[in-house]
Amino acid sequence: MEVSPSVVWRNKPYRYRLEVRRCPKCGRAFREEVEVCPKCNERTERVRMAGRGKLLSWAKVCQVPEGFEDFSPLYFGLVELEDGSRIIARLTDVLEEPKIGMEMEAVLRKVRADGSTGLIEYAIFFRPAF
Amino acid sequence: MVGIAGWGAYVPAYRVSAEEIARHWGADPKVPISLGVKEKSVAGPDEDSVTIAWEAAMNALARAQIEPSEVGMVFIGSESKPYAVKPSATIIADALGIAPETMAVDAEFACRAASEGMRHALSMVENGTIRHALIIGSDTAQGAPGDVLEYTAASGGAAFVISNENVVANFIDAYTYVTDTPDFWRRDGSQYPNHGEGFTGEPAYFHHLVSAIKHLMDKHSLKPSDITYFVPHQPNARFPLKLAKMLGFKKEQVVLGLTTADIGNTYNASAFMGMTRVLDNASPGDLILMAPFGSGAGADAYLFEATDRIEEAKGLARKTQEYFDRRKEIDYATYLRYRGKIKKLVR
Repeated sequence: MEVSPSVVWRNKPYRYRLEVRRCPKCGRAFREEVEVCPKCNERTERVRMAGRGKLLSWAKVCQVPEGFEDFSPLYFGLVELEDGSRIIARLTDVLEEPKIGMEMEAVLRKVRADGSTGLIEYAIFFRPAF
Repeated sequence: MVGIAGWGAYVPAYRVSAEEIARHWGADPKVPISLGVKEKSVAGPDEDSVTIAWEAAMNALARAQIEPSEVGMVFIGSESKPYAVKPSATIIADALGIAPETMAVDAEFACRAASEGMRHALSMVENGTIRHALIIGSDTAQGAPGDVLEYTAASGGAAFVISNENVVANFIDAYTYVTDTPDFWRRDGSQYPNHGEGFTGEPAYFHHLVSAIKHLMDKHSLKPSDITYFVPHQPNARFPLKLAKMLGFKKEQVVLGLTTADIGNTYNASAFMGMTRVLDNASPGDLILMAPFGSGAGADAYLFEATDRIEEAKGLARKTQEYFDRRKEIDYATYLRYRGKIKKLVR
């Protein structure tokens, strides 16, 4: 089984809603359920990151990993969100070559499907705003 | 008063033209012309009925201006569920921040499953069982390669928030008419649907819609001229105009809601999609008759009256036409690949 039920289930807050745990003292954000900041020993708070931002950099991958053939080519982007966070995410609906600085918006998309009988993984991607 | 508080649509960016499909099969180009559908929307490789539903629902929630956690029912109608067993509604409810305190329903009734949900939602909100409901019709419609359905079977979604609060279109009444009619079906495990060719018209589409609509209009002593917009189910662009003529509606009452002419038939989102474009353009006081149909077969007729709030809600999310205008044409081979009909055999 390529797509693990427990991993899909555990990653839902970040992958479905861009929710992270953030340390109120140092501001570090965690995608995983880290309840106490390992640096400050402060209890982290659950926050939802912004769904819009600007493209800082991008890459196109044509030699895709096994299981991603249906989605080739893959685009990845470094996006600076409106709340100041910077994240790396899959890009989608790349209808023409991306441009640095372009406005991006979050959308839910299919990451991959585990064959024809396994689980389907979903996550937030970013696409050029229109 | 119960009604629609928010509406929203989503249409994928890709389009394949009917001319391209006919060219590929060496078919008579007059066939797609007679259907009135020049091109259809195609879901991208990372899209399915869940991701399509998500964006349509986001738009509907934005217009309703309600907290997602207050939605008491998420109801999705689709005949292209990603899983045969595992609900789409829970994925959508979780991804939108609605779960866990909600009902979540996946329904199947060909193209009118989502409309069945709307009837349930209107009753449940009206009697106070739930505060708001989210109703979604979403499909990546299947048409077997070479079948006439291939010209029209499209991808798209439309969603409505049903509520007593922030209402943009008051619900006046609805009527449903169903019989066992074998016009279109897909057996369990089969990839593509079958249809009864000419049988899909008179005994199925026209009989059920005319019966439902006439009953509702007679009950309220309405003439076709009393209705501002008529939005029926639209398997192609020809049937709705013929239906309108049979019932005495003028073409100008139908064309705004006739979205199949632009992007093809989005199945559970078919009449719903038309309704979203009508609401994008309607004015307070407009009377709208929406009539979804599903094979198997059944039709619903709804009467809604737009309220003053419709004007402020229009700008709270992207309009349906904006999705129609974002388009990238693809060839037949790309269409086959995007819909998973051809696969790479070597890495």
